[in-house]
Amino acid sequence: MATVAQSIKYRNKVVDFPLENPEELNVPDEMLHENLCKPTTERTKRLKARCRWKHASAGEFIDKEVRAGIERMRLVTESHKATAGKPEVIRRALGLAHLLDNSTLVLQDDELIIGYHAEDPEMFPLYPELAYMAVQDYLMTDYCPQPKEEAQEILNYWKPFSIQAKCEPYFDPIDLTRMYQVSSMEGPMFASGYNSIVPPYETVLEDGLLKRIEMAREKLVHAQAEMEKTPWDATKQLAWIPKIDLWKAMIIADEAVINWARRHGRLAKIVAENFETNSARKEELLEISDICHRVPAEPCKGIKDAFQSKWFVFLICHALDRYASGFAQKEDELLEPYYNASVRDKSFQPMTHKDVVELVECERLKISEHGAGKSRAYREIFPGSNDLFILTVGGTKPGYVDACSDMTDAILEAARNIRTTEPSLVFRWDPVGRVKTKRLVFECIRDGLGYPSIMHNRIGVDQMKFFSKFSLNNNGVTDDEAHRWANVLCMSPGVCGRRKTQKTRSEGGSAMFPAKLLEIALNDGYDWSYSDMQLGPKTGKASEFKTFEDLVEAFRKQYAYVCSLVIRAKDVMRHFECRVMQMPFVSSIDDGCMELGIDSVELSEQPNGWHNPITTVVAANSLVAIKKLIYDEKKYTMQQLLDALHANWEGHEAMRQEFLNAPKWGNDDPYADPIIQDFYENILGGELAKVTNFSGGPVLPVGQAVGLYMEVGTRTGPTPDGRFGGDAADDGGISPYMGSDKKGPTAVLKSVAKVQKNQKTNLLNQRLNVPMMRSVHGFDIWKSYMDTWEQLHIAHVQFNCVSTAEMKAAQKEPEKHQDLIVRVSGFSARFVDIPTYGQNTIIARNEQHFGADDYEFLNSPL
Amino acid sequence: MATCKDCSFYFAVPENAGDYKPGKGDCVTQKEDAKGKYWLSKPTLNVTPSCPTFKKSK
Amino acid sequence: MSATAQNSSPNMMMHEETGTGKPCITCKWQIADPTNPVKGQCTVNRTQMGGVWKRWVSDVYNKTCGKHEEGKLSFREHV
Repeated sequence: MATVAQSIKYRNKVVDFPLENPEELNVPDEMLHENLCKPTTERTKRLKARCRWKHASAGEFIDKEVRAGIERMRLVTESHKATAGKPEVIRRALGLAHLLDNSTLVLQDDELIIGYHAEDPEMFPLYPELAYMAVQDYLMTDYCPQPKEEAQEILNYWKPFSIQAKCEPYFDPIDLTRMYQVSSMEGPMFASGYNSIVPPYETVLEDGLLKRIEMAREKLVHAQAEMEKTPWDATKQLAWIPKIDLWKAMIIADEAVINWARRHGRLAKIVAENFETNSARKEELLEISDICHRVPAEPCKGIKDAFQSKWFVFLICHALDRYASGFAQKEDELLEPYYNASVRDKSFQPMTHKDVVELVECERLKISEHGAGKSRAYREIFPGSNDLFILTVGGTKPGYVDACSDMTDAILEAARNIRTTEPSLVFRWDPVGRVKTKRLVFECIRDGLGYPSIMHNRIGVDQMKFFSKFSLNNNGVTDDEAHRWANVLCMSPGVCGRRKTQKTRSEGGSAMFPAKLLEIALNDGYDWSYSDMQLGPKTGKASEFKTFEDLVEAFRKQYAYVCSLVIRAKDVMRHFECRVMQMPFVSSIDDGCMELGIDSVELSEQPNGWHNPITTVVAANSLVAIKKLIYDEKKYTMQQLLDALHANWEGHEAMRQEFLNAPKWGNDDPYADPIIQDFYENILGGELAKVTNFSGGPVLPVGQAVGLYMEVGTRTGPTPDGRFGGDAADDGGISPYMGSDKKGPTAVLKSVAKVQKNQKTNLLNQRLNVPMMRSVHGFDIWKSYMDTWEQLHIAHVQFNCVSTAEMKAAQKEPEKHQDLIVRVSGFSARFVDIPTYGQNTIIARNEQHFGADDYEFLNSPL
Repeated sequence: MATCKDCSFYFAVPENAGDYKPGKGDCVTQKEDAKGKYWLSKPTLNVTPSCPTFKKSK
Repeated sequence: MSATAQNSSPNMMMHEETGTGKPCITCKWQIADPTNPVKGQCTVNRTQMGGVWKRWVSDVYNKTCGKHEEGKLSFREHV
């Protein structure tokens, strides 16, 4: 039997909470999510049943069939050797062309969208030109590319040319050692190869690559004429040389992509005519063949064209040219014209709304089996998932006109029906958003997917305008363009469209860890609990700090050192990306790069600098406890605290209880909240905002934890908030520490709303009560919560809606709970693919129960 | 000695294709594992000596 | 008492032993460093909540301790 929420008295009446779907009464709490998957068609049911998931956990792949391929490494190396002496940007284009001309293509049964990025559907490619350490790590695993000797030879060849080897000489070896540990800061991008991008899909879908080639040819003709003008002026005319090289490289890359897509078309036709026996599938394959011949060469005319063209661009930008996580796009607006052509007007590829939902489900399953050759650090920190694939829907068009459409609804319906961990969705919540679409958002959340995560639409729009002011070429986004934004990865908004999008993670991304920084600030910069080395500058003995402000100042120095080091690491990387990691294909599809003849990693018209403080709340709660018990009440000395911490509180339990019971974040507490607000706004945000990055803009904090709240917790000793050494840190960016928010859901909102200055966004994880959400009042309560959240000007919120009973049942019998999805932090994961400890941290999160006072504050219409 | 040209899995690249080169073809093979059926296409040349999956064309 | 706790006996604690027959690289409690494959992490310390309090291993070939056990843990036993 399902649990039903208890009745309450509210506004002088008794309110009952019967289930919205009475049939669910017969579904035990422990099995609810195994009964929610309803693929739209038999095809997507089959595709899901055979999906080649590539989830990783604790640095390893769950499915032992998953392994690294050698083909990409081999082909880019052949090209690199053969093109020595040519301009670097031309070499990059020739490298891509050699890969696309010679790579193995994969076509799987039943697929409507085709294309893969390795020589076998169980494989993923590696990138020796990026981080040599990341590839060396793969060579030491069971999923090493074969033959291993050849892979090692390739890696040895690349080591001096790799972006890591180019960047390392510009850092003190001690700083490198500190960065590589991922305890006080995330490792630098040049040592992991981890990356993210927002491809300007719009130009490909609207123009087609043949037109882009024509544009580059016209630019070349013009440039050549400018070079030949007399009298010669070297100060102006020499500047055409790199532009000429880039436009030539664009043409090489685009022609290669067209040929590669048409190879797929050939394959589909060959299979239809020589292998396939089912006549209906033959017809499908011939249509797929026609589509791959036309796109991405030509503009898209219907929705099938758009999905296929987008997929090809995704594979190039995220997996073949170089690795990038993410699936950033404003998908509903991107596809809406093609939806209208196929569904509303029936002018090309005519179909029903349900057919579009099936296509979205097919795309979700393609993403679910997309293998990422990411480094070990990133195989650890998204446990139970594949990679961070996140797309955005909802929000507004210029003039704050609702951007929700039937395409938005198709995306949400598909997510609800097919139930996959990826791609995650972001919904931009705005008061003008239509209720019909918000209801679908609710259904996804209620069914426990953990997504869409919700972003405040107007904060995002204003943020695009704010960063635009720092544009180095005075061509940041216009007020109208500011409306077209999507999250670049989990949390940070970035502009989408035909130009000005983010092209590399050296612009924004990566993390630093305040809990560890506070730990070493208490120990004169020394890390006694993990690495046994000096991890930061010497900032004085904590026992000699006379005031609370002395301690905050020591923390600030530790934090400032890390801020500048991590952003310097990104910008040094960017410097070398501009020289050896150009992206001529991406440049060809960006209107700015095409117009100006500047490569896409170099041209940054719209700054978007951010870095993620993670474990902030452990540090903040610790500061509150120290201020109260040591400096205000003088109940303990700092030395006593240090002794207790070095003993991991052993023999100091009574003292630990007092530190544990000091005021905590998330309870609208008048003592804790002002201290923590100041910590967010003036220390974390204020110090980071002093930094100027490659693009000329400030860098702002995006608090969000991914699985780092567990990983960094394991590398952080005991902390003054009462936490034991090794225990998990806080799971959001501004979420209360698990179990410490004791005054209900609206107290959490009130605390979080206090932090406004110097922030980009902060992740708020909340866990909602399943019976309430599945009741007849579920949507109304949730919507009133969301409306209040919006009015409080909070940037983000996301929800877990899974019962403890079901999670515990899944721990006992994982094989029976393959469809149980949970929100970890910034991503959703298959619960049974998460290590036991990680599962326990999710179970330990406080499940919010709403009382009459909460409903009153939310003005819930019960 | 048998070459790819004699194999039923060899499909010559059409002359109007962007990647056409004389003698170039696609080697298309069907695979199946526990998760389903799929096809692979690899570029090859008609003069390449046959491989273990060679199957004489009719 | 754990292998790497500060108040363990010297032989039980992680220590350098060049050419040791029981290097951390072969120990089931060791997992790779997140970035640098010649470094590692010791996971033998388990917390009350079931988590892991890790210690960095600066040289996986020449460090050892009294808790050395050959093998490999499943992902479920890690973090």
